[in-house]
Amino acid sequence: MAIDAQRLAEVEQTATRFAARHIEPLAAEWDHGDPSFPLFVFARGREAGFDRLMLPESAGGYGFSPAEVAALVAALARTCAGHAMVIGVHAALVATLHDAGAQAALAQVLASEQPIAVALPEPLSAGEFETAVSAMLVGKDQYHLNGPAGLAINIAPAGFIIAFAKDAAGSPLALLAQAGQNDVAVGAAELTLGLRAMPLAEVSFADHALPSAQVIAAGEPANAFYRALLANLCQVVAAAAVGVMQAARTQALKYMAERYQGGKMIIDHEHLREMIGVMTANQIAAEGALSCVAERGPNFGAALGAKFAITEAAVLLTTDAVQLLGGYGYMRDYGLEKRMRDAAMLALLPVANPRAALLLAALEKKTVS
Amino acid sequence: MTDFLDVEIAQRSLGEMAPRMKILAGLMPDYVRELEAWQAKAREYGRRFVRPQALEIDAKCRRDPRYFDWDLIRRAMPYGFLSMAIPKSAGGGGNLTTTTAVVLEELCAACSGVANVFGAHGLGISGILLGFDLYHVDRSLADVVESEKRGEPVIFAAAITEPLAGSDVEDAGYLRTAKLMTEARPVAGGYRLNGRKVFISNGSIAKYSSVIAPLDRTRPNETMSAFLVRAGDPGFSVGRVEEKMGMKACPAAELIFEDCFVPRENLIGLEGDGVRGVETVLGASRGPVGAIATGVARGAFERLVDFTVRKKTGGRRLFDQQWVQIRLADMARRIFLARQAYLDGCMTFDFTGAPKLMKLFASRMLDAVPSHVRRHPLITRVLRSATMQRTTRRMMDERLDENDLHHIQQYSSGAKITGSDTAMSVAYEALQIVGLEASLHRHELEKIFRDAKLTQIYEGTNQLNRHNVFINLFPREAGHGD
Repeated sequence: MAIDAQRLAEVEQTATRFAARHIEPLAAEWDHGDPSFPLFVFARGREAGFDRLMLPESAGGYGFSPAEVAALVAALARTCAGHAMVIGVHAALVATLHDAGAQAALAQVLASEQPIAVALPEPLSAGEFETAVSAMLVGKDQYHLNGPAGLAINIAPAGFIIAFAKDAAGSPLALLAQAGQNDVAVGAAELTLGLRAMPLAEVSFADHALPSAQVIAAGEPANAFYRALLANLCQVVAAAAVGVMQAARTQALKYMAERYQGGKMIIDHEHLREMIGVMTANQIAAEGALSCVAERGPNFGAALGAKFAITEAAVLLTTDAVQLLGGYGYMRDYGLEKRMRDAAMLALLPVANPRAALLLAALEKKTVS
Repeated sequence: MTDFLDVEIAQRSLGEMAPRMKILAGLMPDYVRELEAWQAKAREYGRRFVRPQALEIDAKCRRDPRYFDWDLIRRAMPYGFLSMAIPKSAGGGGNLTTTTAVVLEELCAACSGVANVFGAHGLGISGILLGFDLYHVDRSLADVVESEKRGEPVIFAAAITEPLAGSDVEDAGYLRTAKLMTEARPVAGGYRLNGRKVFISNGSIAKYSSVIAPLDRTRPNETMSAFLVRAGDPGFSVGRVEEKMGMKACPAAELIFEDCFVPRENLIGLEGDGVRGVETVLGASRGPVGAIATGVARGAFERLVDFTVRKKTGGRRLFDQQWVQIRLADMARRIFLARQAYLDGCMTFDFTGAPKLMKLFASRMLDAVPSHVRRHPLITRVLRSATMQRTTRRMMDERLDENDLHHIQQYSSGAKITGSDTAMSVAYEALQIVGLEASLHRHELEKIFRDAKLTQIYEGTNQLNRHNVFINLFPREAGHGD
């Protein structure tokens, strides 16, 4: 997929302006306050059309390429990774619904102005997932859902929830439910390590009656939907991690050029200069991996691998950035500790990196067996 | 399932955790028995009181960084953690750094934020202890002991770091060019202290602060000295209390000195002895910081084991999955090595460093004299005389082997680096094995990850400590490089 550099730059500028205007004034307080969904920023994002970025123009979207989406999310994440994820996750879920042909569900979401959350089940191997939600078909066109769906990311009080279930025969289902209904229990938004603008909460169903029309995919297509969703989320996570890296490295570099230690600027200490060099190298590699996976187009393995490598690099870089600022890096005022927490949290999404490695190995095994 | 955690992992004896203790139990049974007794006390306090409250305190401090849980610290008074290092002649436990380290590892496995209150207190009193300053032992440290007996904590802080000089104040080579803000100008009857200290653990809650400052900022190496400042002293105030990423239960504060008068008797040790004092104190304290970090790693490990036993994926417990087993084994290996490193650092200091002077006849005689007798004005005058202090210093110079001092620095810095890098790697890996659930505050692991990072920064960054290892490994050849 060819990358249009000029368009990419425009996307980046738009996102940077958006972040400066709508996210920057709120980001620190949102990180510090009690967890809740940033409805204001989400609404401004919708107004800017961020929710339809990945939809083709024929579906009323903007037809952004994966590279453009990555540029946008990274630019937002330079200000706040949590807010970037709110917008990025929603856009990725909208796109996944579209690509799966779930037109009814998509129309419902786009008409409602509500965000989408996803309760991601544990992956078992490259193609399956594990869920404790049972779906019992009652009559012709209704399922009754029961059981815990687990932690949902990007959860909002009246938002939609993509969840996964197994029917009586053990066949997988992907479905769209909505929070705020009596039999869809959404726990309180949890206090988390990072990405605090993107709330997490436990979701469970208690005899929830779900019309069949709300089923996004059933059987093998549900597994395919799950993989596509993971791949899209991996790209968003990877892009957010790149944004976090760019911002953290810039901040550390600035501090090193201003701060005096042992009779010279910190940046003139060879050992510390080496650290910033390693940070630069990791950032360049991460940016390269992000471009590479964006150019490849939809590819589950590539997205998973890129997210693994990029988020690991982001954790390393942000941890070193905090270290370079010493005590100041550890304090809230400088914002770097937030970036370190956000990076560590990104490494857990949409699946934690060791599990991502096991999934990659499962894919690799298929190629040799 | 927590039975597994309690029985198999977190209740191992000192001998099981550190094989040298099993060997030493045959050679020095009293020494090991005492360590085990302190470990048991710390384990009990950690289990009964600290861990059940750790998350709540962390959350409260997140909302208000000035929050300090005095009740929890009061509950520690019967255990004697605040006075454990104070000489027996002043009513304390008379313990050295190894015991402190063993206690800190246990407390940190419960909550390193709370443990750091005791760790920072230990750092605060160590200047007095290692300077053999009996005047202050018999007054401010005796106050710690007596208050502890009454159930009222008296806490110390050590004020070293400045806004523009962190590592610079902790390294004699860097100190020459440090941009210092604090100065203690000599005046009639004492000193006028001006300037600011930042990130001072216990700073906002300490009754006593040991403040390091030069008499002349243009000659810091020659004039650096230590002073005892009391909360409420005119000209001394607490500025901002920092909003830290972790270890929130132990507040880090800015200390402000504005023409703060320090009477001459509140000089700790000798004028101009501050550089040597800081070096000795850090040589003593970096081993226990390694123990703090080891405890952080152990806390993460224990919670992770508990999780892997309870959590099933694909019908199998995580604990039974090979990829998890190998990671658990490697984490246990790293924690084990970190523990050996801090025990090496602490025992080297205790047996070959300044504490060995306590075995000298003169020291034993002085220690045998009850504290109230030593407080007699005549004896006080003798103890505070420059001659007496110079004699003490000469004794230290003569009796302490230069090579041993280099080894102490190497091993203590090595322990600090090893422990803190282990704490970070184990805490991060625990998050990764558990997955997204680990990011929730209620599961403790995210707190431990936040706590762990501080161990790589305080008590000299790991970069500074690596350099300290180098210059003490090659003392004749080493400079500060580029």
